[in-house]
Amino acid sequence: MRRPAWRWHDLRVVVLGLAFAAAWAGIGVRIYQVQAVDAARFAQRGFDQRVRHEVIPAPRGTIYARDGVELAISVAGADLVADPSIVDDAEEVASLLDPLLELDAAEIVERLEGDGRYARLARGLEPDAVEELEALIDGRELLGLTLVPRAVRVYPSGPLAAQVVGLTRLDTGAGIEGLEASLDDVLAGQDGRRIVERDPGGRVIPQGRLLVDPAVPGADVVTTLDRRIQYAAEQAISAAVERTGANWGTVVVLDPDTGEVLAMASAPGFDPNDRDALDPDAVVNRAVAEVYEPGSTLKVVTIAAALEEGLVAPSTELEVPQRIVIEPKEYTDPSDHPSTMTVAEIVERSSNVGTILVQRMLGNERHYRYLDAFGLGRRAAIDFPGERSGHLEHVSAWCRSTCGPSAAIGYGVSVTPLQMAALYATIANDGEWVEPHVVAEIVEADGRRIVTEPRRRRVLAPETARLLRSMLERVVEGGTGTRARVEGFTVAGKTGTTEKYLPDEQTYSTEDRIASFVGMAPAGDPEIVVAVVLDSPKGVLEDGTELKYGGASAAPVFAEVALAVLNDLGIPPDRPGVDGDG
Amino acid sequence: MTARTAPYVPTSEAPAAVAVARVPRLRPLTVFTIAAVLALFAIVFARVSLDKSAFELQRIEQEIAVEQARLAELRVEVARLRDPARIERVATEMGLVFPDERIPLRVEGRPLQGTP
Repeated sequence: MRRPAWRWHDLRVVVLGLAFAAAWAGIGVRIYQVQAVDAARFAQRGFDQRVRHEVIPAPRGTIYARDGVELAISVAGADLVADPSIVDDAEEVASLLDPLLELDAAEIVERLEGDGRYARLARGLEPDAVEELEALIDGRELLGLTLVPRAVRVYPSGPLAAQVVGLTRLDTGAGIEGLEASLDDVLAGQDGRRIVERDPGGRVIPQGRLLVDPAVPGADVVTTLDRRIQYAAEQAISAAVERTGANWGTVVVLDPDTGEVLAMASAPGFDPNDRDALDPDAVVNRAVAEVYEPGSTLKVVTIAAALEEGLVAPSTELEVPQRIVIEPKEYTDPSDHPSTMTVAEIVERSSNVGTILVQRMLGNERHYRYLDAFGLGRRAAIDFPGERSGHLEHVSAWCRSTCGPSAAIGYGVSVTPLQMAALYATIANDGEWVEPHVVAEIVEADGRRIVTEPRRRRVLAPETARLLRSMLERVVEGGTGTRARVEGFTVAGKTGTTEKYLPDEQTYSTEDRIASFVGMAPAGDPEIVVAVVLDSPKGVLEDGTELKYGGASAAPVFAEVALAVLNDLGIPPDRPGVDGDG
Repeated sequence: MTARTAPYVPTSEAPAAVAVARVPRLRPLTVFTIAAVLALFAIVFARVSLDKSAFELQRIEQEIAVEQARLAELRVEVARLRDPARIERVATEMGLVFPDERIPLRVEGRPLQGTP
């Protein structure tokens, strides 16, 4: 029997079988390699591609006025960025974006034709603008433009209370001025983190959350500011700065009973929403950041101390010369006065010499004790960023001759406008000093409320404070502060005019003055204290009075603000003779 | 040789071979298979339900985020509307002016109180 001969098709079958076997073996090896040998590595690569470690930004807290209206709030906005290498027709894109952005078309074209792959066209766009741009980009299928979402800080009332509220950085959102800076830790909250699995399209895979550590939203801050009073104060001080050509001006309105700052305005001001036009000088909160020698407004401390110590009474008569020499200085009174004056008349006429005579009866030690008790030389407020302490030399460092007399008339001591407001608020509050503050409460994200409790201390007896108020009332009725009168209300206050100290030259200006007025109304039971300070007002009134004097430039601002505040608070008129006939 | 015969059994007493019904007996493997299949279905169902819930949760979270953003926008709008500068501007446009003269009136026999 013969073996059958090999046939070609048998060989092909064998070869094919071997090829299949080899292919399957290869697949098997690869499977073994992927599933066994390198399994851990591939699993990790897949995991790394899906899993994202993300930061959950904490929403920044809101800053409110006392009536619950937002002064600063964060909204979901965006930046508009472009990749110039992808943008097809820069000029066409620019013409479309021009009406929606602050940049003009030429600048947009310049940025879109620049080198590189990144050009920012707008930063911090608000939701309305984002919506319009989204519609434009999608509708016209504009390539190379991207809206990058981010929280945007908005100040709905613009310039209102801008120096108090402050600013945040445009890039990081951190506070850099005002309450935004001083309470940044409180407002910022705590970012959370999230580890999630996302598909290649960036969508979160359901049940793919591995860890979510939620963000803790920032706390809200409720201020003591009254928006209407703040607005009235800003309008009045801006007009005064414009009218008098002053370098700057500031107004502080305090509630003497509670120490609450109802308004704190400085001019020139700024709009925190408009960063391009931002003037760094306008950002300064002059009410706490400027120090000046208070001049005659500080005489009240000398008189208060002498009254409290029982050395004088308002009716005590003193021989007051027109000038007095205390080596090496000569102190004079600016206007003629009788040679004998009562203490009340000394205050009314703002006599330098008379006040110095009272200070000599008092002595430096006791004088200093009262200056210190009124809070001079240290920060007045709880929560103001950039607040300066002013300067009050310790009595042990006072010179024997002129330091006391100079301090009595408001020289050699520097204060902030807020300190002066707090000082007069002490007199208004029957002798009890209350720490001024602008934050009423902080409301944590969990609803916990931290209410500000201002410090209090008694400086004068109530009776002394009442006597002072009646003397200060005479200043407005017939003394240097008549322009501070408010129709229908009794007003007590004091004018101040000091030569401006020039730190660079270490001397006093011969021309520029710091003009001020600090007062309260109604005088009998004050509901408000208003301090007004103007730096270097110039000009002359129709009656020839120079505006450099506090009684001419600052007192009218007081009257304007006080009237607005008294009306706003619904304080009834207390001035006799106003009923019926107006 | 004797013939052996079966004992006589009356017909009526004979076992009823036909009438006994057989109870079906499930083998353990079958039971296990059915249970496994049911469990598989249950797991799949639960998984699908969870996925649906996860999608729903995601949708709700997005809705909340959108509504919160909208709320913030509206709060900004309200605050802008209540801005004293805007109110004064609108009032001026409407022809409102501050009174030239304040005339406080005191009603005899009544203490001063409230807004003049």
